[in-house]
Amino acid sequence: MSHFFWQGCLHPLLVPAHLLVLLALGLLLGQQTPSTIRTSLVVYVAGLGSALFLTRVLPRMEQSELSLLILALSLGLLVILKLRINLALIVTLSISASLLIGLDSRVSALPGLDASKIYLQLLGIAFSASLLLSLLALISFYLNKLLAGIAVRIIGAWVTAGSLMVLALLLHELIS
Amino acid sequence: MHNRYKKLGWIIALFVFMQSAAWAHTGAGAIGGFMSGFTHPLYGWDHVAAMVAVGILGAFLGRPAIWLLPVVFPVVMAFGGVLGILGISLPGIEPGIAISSIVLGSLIVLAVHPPLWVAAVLVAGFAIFHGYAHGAELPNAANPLAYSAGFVICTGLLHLLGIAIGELIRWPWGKTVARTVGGVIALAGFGFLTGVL
Repeated sequence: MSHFFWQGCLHPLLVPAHLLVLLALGLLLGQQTPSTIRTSLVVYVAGLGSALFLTRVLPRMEQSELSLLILALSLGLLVILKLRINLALIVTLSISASLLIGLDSRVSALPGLDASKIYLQLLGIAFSASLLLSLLALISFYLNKLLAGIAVRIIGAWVTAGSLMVLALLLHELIS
Repeated sequence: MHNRYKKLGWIIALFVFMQSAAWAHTGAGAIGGFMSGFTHPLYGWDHVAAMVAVGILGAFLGRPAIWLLPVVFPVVMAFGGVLGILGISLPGIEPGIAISSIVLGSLIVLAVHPPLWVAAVLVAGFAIFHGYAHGAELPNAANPLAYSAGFVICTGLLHLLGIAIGELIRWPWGKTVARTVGGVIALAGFGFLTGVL
C-alpha cells in the first residue's frame, strides 16, 4: 500500500508547472519574516489538503497550466523586486498556489483502484508538496543572508523568464 | 558509507520506475525536455561565450551590477523568446549574437567600466537576440516548460561561471586571467561573425 503513497510523493516533482510555482513561492517566502513564513505555510497546507480532497468531487480544471504559469510569473517578479509584502497578499498568494496545485493533482480513478489507494496517493502529494515548499522557503531564507540575497533574485529571474516564454507559447497556441 | 549511497540510489531509482499511469500528468517528456533545454545553450559556443561574458562583466563592475546584469539578461531574453515564439521577424539574429561576444568581451579585456545603466541596456539589447534564437525553437519542444526551465537554468549557471571568473579580480593574477578570458570571448565573437568559428 505504501507504494501508492510514494507515487503521490513523486507527483509534484514530475510536473514542471507545479515545481515552478513551488520554487517561486518558496523563494518569495524566504524573503519574508519568520512569522509570515509560518502563517503562509499553515495556510498553504490547509489549502492544499482541501483542494486535493475536492479533486474527488469537482470536474477537471481547464487551462490549469496557464493559471499556474501566470502565478509563477507574478511570484518570480516579486522575488526579483525583493519586497516585504504585507501578510494579506502573501497569504492570498499561498492560498492561490495551494488551490491551483491541489486541484491540478487529480488521481484518475482507474477500474480496480480502491478509494483508499487514491486517498493514499493524495496524501503523498500533500506531504511532498508541503515538505518541498517548506524546504525551499528555509533554503531561500538562509540564502537571503548570503551576498544580500543575490542568488535568490537571480533564481527568481530564471523562474520569471521560463514562465514568460511558455506562457507566451500557450497563449499563442490558444489564439491561433 | 559507499554502500549506503548505493542503497539510496536504488531506492530512488525504484520509486522513479514505480510510476503507474494513474495520473492526470504522467511526467512523460518532462525529464527529456529539461535535459534537451539544459544542453541546448551548450551546443552553441556563441551563446556560451556571451553568457559567461555577462557574468564576468557583472563581477568586474561590482555591486549592484553583479546581480543586476544576470537578472536583466534572462528576463529580457524571455521577451526576445516571446518574439521568436510569435514568429515576429527580427533581422540580424546571428550577427547580433556574435557582436554581443565582441562588445562584452572587449569591455572586459579593456577593463572599461561603463555606467550601470549603459551596461544594463547593452546586456538587455543583446539578450533579445539570444532569447529570439531560443524562443524560435521552443514550439518544437516535446515539453516546452521543462525545455525552457532547462535552458534558463543552464544560462544562469553560465552566468555564475562568469561571475566566478570575474571574482578572480580580487587577486592581481586573477585580473589577468579574467581579462584574458574576456579577450578570448571577443576574438571568438569575431570568429562567429566572420564564420571562421
